[in-house]
Amino acid sequence: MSSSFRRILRSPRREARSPEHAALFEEARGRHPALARHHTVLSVLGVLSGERRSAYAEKEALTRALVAEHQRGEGSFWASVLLVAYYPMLSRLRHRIYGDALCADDLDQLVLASFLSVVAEFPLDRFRDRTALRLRQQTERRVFAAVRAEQREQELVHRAEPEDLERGAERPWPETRPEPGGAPASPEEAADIVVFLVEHAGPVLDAESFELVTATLVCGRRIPRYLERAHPDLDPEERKRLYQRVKRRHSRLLRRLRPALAHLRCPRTEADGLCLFGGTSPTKESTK
Amino acid sequence: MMRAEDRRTALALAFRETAPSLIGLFQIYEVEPEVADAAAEVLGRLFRRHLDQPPERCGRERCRPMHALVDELDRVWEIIEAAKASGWKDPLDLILDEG
Repeated sequence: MSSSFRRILRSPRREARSPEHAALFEEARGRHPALARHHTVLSVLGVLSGERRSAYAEKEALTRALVAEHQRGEGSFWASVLLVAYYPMLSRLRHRIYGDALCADDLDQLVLASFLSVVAEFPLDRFRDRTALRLRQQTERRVFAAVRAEQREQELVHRAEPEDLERGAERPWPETRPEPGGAPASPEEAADIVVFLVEHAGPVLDAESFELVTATLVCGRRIPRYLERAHPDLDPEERKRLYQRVKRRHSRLLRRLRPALAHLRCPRTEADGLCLFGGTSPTKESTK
Repeated sequence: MMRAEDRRTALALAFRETAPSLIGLFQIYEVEPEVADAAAEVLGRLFRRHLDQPPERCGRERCRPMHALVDELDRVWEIIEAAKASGWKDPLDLILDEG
């Protein structure tokens, strides 16, 4: 069992047991007959944690009372009581989740946050029975939907080129040219581009980075193809690992390059790539 | 007349810009790795001969000769930058002044 999940619940447990909330509980007793029979919240928690089937009706009434009090929105005390009462269910749910879509701490938080949001929104007027069962089902649905969404997103991120991801959020410049194989048309153009890059990006790039951005920004090559040529002897597993590293480095490089080249941006279409594509001397443009 | 140390600095700057230029061209034309490695070897030897630099080994994993050469040139570049920071006039300016 995850010790971190248990640790997270230490604070709610302390809060639920704290005598300073006695007044809140006392007030709630006046509102709910199910609570009126109990002198302390510990007694309520004792019944809710019991295994007796005969106590089902009482448990149902207590759960509904706790949910109603939580929905009144008076502090975190009732949330803590509910978390402690439903800890066994939450813990089972937490430990049914496998995979690496989210780290352990995030999963702990996801389970707790999903449960509390379900409790906060639970329509007590609409559902008048099997409250505990509904709380469990709705929490499960939310948790698994969130995990699946995270998995889908990670899969997309994993497969996508970094520049495609960035393109989704903004229109960055410079970026990998959309058409692969777009090498310069003539030696003069190639020379223009290289001089441009050396002049403006050379001081901020090391040799490998310079080679990488030439491949992607100038020639429109995808990173896997670049790596195939640069490291033809790598086994597939090693190549995969290297690809992940290079992909991240490429994103960082673009972030570093953009401010260095921002003053040179010109109103061309993205298919033109860097400003000088088409034959204009970049050096002349940049010094205008 | 330019001083010998300024000439060395100017040469280092030129080499520092030549190496990435070649890297860029080799990448654009997808030159065979052997050609790129040989070019790095030639450039490195010339650089070391003109600047009296001892050869340096690249400590990184999967280090291509041209990348290693740029690292080597970068170290010279750093020395130049430090010299500039202490008030030394940029040797390229000296060349332009003379021209």
